[in-house]
Amino acid sequence: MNRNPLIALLAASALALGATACGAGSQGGNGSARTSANELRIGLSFGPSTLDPAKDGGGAPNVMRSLTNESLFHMNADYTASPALVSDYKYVGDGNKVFEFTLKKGIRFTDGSPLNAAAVKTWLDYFAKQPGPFASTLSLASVETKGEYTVRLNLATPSAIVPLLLSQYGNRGALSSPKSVADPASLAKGTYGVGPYVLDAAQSVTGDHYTLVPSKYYHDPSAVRFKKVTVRIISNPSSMLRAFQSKQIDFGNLDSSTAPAAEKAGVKVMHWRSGTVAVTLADRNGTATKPLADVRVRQALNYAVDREPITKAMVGEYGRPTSQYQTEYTDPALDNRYPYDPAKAKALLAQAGFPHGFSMDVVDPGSIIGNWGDPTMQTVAKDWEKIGVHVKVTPATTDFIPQALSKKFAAMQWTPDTSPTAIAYSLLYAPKASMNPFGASNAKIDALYQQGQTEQGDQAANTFRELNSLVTEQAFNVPIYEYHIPWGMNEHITGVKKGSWMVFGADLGWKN
Amino acid sequence: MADTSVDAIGAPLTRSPRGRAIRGRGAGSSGLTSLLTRRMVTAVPLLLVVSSFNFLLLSLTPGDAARQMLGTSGTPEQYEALRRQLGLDLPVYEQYGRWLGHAVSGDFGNSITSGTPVLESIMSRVPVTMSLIVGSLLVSVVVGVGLGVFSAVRGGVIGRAVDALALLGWALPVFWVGSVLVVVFAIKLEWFPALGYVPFTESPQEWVRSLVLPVTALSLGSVAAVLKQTREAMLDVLGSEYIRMAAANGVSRNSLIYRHALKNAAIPVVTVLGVQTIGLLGGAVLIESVFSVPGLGSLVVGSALAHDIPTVQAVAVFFTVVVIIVNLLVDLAYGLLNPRVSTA
Repeated sequence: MNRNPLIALLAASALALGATACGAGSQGGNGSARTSANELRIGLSFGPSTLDPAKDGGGAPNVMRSLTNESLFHMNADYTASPALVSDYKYVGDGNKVFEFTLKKGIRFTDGSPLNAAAVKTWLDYFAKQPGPFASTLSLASVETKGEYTVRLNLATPSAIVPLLLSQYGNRGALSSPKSVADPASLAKGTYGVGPYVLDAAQSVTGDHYTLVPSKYYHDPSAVRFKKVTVRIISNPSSMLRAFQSKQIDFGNLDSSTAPAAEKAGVKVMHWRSGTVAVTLADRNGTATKPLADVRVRQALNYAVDREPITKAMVGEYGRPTSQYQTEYTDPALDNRYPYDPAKAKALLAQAGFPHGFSMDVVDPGSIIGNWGDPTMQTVAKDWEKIGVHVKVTPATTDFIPQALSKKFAAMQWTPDTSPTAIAYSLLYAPKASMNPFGASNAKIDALYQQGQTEQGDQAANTFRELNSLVTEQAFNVPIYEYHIPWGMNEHITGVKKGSWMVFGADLGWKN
Repeated sequence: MADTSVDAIGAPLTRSPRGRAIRGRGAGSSGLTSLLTRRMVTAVPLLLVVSSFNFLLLSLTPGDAARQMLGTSGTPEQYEALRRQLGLDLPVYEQYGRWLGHAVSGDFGNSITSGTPVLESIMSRVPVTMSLIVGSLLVSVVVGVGLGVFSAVRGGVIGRAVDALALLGWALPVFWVGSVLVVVFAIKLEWFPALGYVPFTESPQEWVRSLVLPVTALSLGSVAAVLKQTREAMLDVLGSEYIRMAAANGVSRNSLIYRHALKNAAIPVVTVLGVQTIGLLGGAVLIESVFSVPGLGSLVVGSALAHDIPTVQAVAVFFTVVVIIVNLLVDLAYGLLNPRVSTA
């Protein structure tokens, strides 16, 4: 035996470690040295729950999906949609119940099968039957094919936003090939869209990282800017920051707690409006909590919230205070509709017959979504306490939705999708809206929704704007701040369009 | 720790920390077969208990997969229909029975959320978690035993310093250590990647590089535990009568330490290693999050939040099997280290 075998073993281990580190150094440090734009490395805070677009939700996964599944229409920053795989389109007749579009020719899915009317029908029929979060956003009576490339949608109820619902928004436009639809198990394991890239399953681990390689059938080779795109899911914000600092990713979404450090480290950060953090007064008809039926009480709750310091504390510069839900059709004049005025709030409560306040229960999504959940609600509750409104806050992490729908809570604090307005109505304001547990209704808002859905262009925009203004005047919610998603990128990244609903990976480019 | 004394003929008499009876030499292959058989037999009820308890806990967790899949936009009708489709409307015992019926035939089903076969998801992640755990164990053995012996043999200030370092290793939270390592060695020095995992088949060198920081962070606690145990066991053995007699008979110092003392001191260390291995499974969950490593820990956390029962169940079964195997290996190691400790 060696004179001192343990020391020898330790020394050998240290040498091996050193050799590994030194070897790595000679190859470019941590592998971050980039000499070309061959590979785009994206980091996302959360990835697709499934690769099947019909069953997946929205948000950050759309960055990746746009690379593999080009949509029929392209969603614009103002929530309109422009034709993408479609050459022309129109509503047929009046009332927005029939929509027809013609496909561009010569386009193929990544499995080589052609894009035609039959393929679109197969996909739309499949999408409508899946238990996905967007299946109910369009009420389809039937899908018809008219010739090889024309598709007609017959709607059960009118919709003014069909092009938008066939874009990246809601995944319905993210077509997948008929072969994959015939074998839904394959849709969970791969991508079969009409996109510039296709998933390389052998180099991917579901839920962790996805490797995309160019599709040999993509119709616009100039749009294939990278030989490889890797999308890494980094749920821990600190890890995302470190990924940027160590130059292991080129582009990704940060949060308000890590963005300042990223900027300090030289990462370019762009941010713009993404959504609104608010308290939805679910029992606004006063079913269980009588005071909420009075608009003066709901307005008092709005006046009582000091939005400025809350916003600063929760999201810093990555957001701004607001008195209304930020949607595609909001009146900027109402942004400060309810300035902080506790005296006025108390007066309104007294006028409504509640001079000593009242009590109510509120549910929030806990701390699972960071400052947007419990920390914000607890601060708002303190403001309400000052006007005599006592709030019992219940944080719910894994069961926010069932709790919010349980009718135990007069209000819910969350960040709902408030755009497009037509979808927000189905989510929040319709008597049978999915997040309207007490079935609260308002005849005027219902009428505006019905009207807007049968109109088009500016007419529809004006009607929906009026609807949103009425929601703010009626104080159905207590909006607190609009939040921004800080998008981080290195100096080479191009194609990020400020103000867009989502950064689409397919738009990203590289400038040396 | 082991109860070490000297028998009538002067050889060390060892009782394993698990209380194994002392038998004569040569438990032999029949003893091994008997041990394996007993372990297999006890594994079945253990797996049943763990899987049923786990299933019950998951079922009691507020919320369900149907709500998770539909998000906020699902109507009550859609929600109820999906619950029926997923079998979530059935009584818990019936859901468990269905799961068990498939699981015994090796069919762990598909993930409720991603739709991919659970077994595929697990198998793609097993090498990652096992790399972390085996790597951490290696570090624990090499560094823990090495420093433990060094500390016991040298004693004095150096020994106490090593002892204090061990306490520090115990006290520091894994995620904090991981973060510090990343800042220093990935961001400042750029020696290692800050996150991610490279499969061995892709590049052995990059595989090692991707493991260095997470393994270092993960192994710190178990290095401390092994170090402390080794030091104490070595001090015990080195102070025993037979070691003094051997020294008086002219046995060399190295031979005394490494051939006689360490071999006897190793038995309690093996026990600690067994316990640490099981602890590392839990630690891997944190480390995988900090280093964004695609192992079983990150899979089970995501699946639990999504109420993805099939995936969580399968990972729980896998972890249980690992625990059973580790215990078996520990028992076998007792027999190898000291044939007087019977495995029968």
